[in-house]
Amino acid sequence: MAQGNEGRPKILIVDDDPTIIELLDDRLSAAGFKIVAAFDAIQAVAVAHKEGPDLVILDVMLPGGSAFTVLERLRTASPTALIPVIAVSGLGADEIVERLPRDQVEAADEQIAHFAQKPLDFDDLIAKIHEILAG
Amino acid sequence: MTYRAKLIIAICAVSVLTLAALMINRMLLVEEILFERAQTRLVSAGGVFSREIIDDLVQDRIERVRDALGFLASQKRISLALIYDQNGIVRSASDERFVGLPVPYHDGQQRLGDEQVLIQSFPLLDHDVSFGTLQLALSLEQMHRDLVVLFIWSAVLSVLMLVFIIGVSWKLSGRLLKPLEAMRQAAEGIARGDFSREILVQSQDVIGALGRSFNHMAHELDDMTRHLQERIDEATAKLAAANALLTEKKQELERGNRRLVELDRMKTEFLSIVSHDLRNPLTAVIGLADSMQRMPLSEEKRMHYLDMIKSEGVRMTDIIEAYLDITKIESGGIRLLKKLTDVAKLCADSVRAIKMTSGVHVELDFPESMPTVKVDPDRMRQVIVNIVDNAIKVSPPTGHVTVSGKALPDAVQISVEDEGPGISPEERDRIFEKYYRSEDRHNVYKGRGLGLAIARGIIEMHGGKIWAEEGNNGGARMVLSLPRTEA
Repeated sequence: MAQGNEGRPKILIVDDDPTIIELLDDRLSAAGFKIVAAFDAIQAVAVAHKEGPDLVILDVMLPGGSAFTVLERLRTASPTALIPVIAVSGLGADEIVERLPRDQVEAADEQIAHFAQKPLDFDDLIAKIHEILAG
Repeated sequence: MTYRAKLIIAICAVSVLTLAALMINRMLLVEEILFERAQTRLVSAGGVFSREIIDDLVQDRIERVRDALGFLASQKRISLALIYDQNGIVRSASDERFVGLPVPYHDGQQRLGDEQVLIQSFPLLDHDVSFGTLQLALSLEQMHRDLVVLFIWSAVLSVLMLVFIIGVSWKLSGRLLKPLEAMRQAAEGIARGDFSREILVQSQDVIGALGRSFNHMAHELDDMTRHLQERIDEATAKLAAANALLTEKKQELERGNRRLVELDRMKTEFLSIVSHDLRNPLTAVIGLADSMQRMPLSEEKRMHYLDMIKSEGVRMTDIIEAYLDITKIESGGIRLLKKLTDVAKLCADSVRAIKMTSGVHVELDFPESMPTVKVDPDRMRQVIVNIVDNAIKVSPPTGHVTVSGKALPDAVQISVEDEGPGISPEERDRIFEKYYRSEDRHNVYKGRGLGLAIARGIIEMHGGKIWAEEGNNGGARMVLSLPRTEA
C-alpha cells in the first residue's frame, strides 16, 4: 500500500462542483484521508503529478476534457500510471458506456477500479476506498 | 401492276379493236371496189371483143377466130378465152385442151388451176342470129395481191398509230395521275406523322376535288395531332407536377420522420441529462444532511451546511426552471407579455438583482435617451441577468463588466462586455446551442449551457438577435439586438 507523507493515504478529488468537493473533503478527512482537489481535467493531471495521490476520485463530466482524457494522461506517465481511480458520475455506468467509443469501453473497464453513481453513499465510498487501497 | 400500266393496257386494247375493225371495214370496201372494177373491165373487154370477132364468125374464118382468142388470152389479166356453141361444146379456145369438150365453167368466181378467176359469158349475135357464146376468165390474183399490199400498209399504219396512241396515253396518264401520285406520297407522309405536305391542284375535275379534300383532311389531321400533342404535353406536365409534389411530400415525411427520431433521441438525452444534473445537487443535499446527522460538527459548520443545502435546493429549482423554459421555448409554449419598456432601466434593475459574490464591478453605460422597446420585461430581465451573471463569473475577481446600450435606426442594441478570457471564434455560435458544453476550462457556460439557449430563444421570440463577439480588451462581448417599435 502506497502511503502519503504523513502516513495518511492521499486522495485527489476531481469535480467541478465546489459543494461536492467540500462535502467529500469533510467526510474523507474525517475518515482519515488527506485530501487534495482539482476542479477541471487539466488541473487534475497537474495536481496528480505534483501530489502523487494514492487514489483519485474522478467526476466523469468535467470542463476542459472528460474524465477519460484525465485517465489517459495519468496512465501514460509513469509516476501516475498505477494510481487507482474511482469514477463518479450523475449518469449510470450504462449511460456512460453508451457515450463512449467501443475501444475506450474496454480501456475504461481496465483502468477504473470502481464506479460510483451520484447521489453518493459516503459509507460505501469509504469502504470501497479502503478495499482498493488494501489491494 | 401500276394503275398507269392498267390504264395504258386498256387504252391499247380499245385501240387495237378499233384499228382492227377499221382495217377490216376498209379491206372489205376496197375488195368490193376492186372486184367491181375487174368486172367492169371484163364486161367492156368482152363487149369490144364480141363486136370485133362477130364478122370472122359469120364468115367462118376459124383460123382468125383462134388467133384472136389467143391474142385476147395473152392480154393482161385475161387467163382464158373460149367460144362455145348452143349445145355447150367448146368450138375454139385460147387453150387447145378445151376444144370439143363441154364448156367447163359457169359464170362467176371460180378456181382455175391455181388461180382465182372471174368468169363471164357474152352471147355472140349478128342481127339476132346466135353464133355461139364467148366466155372470158379474168384473173383476180392481181386484185388479191393489191389487197395483200393494202393490208400490209394498213397494218403498218395501225401499228404506228398504236405506238402513237400508247405514247400519247403514257404522257397524258402521267399528267392526269400526277395529283394521285402526290396524294399517295402525302398519305405516306401522313402515316409517318408529317402533315406539312400540300398537294398542288388546279383542276376542277374529280381528281382536283379529291386533292382539295385530301389537303383539307391533312390539315384537319395536323390540327388534331397538334391538339393531341398539346393534350399529351399538358397531361405529362400535370403528371410531372404531381410527381414532384409526391416527391416533395415524401421528402417532407422523411424529414418529419427524421425529426421525430431526433426528438425521441433528444427526449432520452434530456431525461438522462436532467437526472444527471439533479444528481449533483442531490448528492450535496443528501450528503450534507447525512453529515449533519452523523458527524460531530461545529455550529459554524452546521450553519454553513444548512446554507449549502438551501443553495443546492435553489440550484435544483433553477435547473428545473431552466429545463421547463427550454421545453416551453422549443414547443412554442411561452406567451410573451409585451410592454413598452425602458431598456436602460430594465438593465439597471437586472444588474441590481444579481447577488454580488465577487469584487467584479458592473458599469452601466446608456445614452441620455434610449428609445423604448416593446418586450416582455420579465423574460428580458431573465436574459440580461443570465448574461451579466456569466460575464461576472468569467471576469477576474476585481474586473469590470460593462453593460451598454445603443440606438440604431431600426434596432436597439444591448452589449455586455467582460474582461474574461473571451470565447474562441469556433465556439461563438455553438455556445448558444442547447446542452453545449465547452471544452474550455475557463468557460463558465457549463452547467448545461441552457442559459444561453434560453436567452437566444427569448430574444428570437422578440424578433431580435443575440451573438457573441470579441471585446475591446480580450474579453467577450455579448450583443442583444431588439427591433425598434414605432411609438
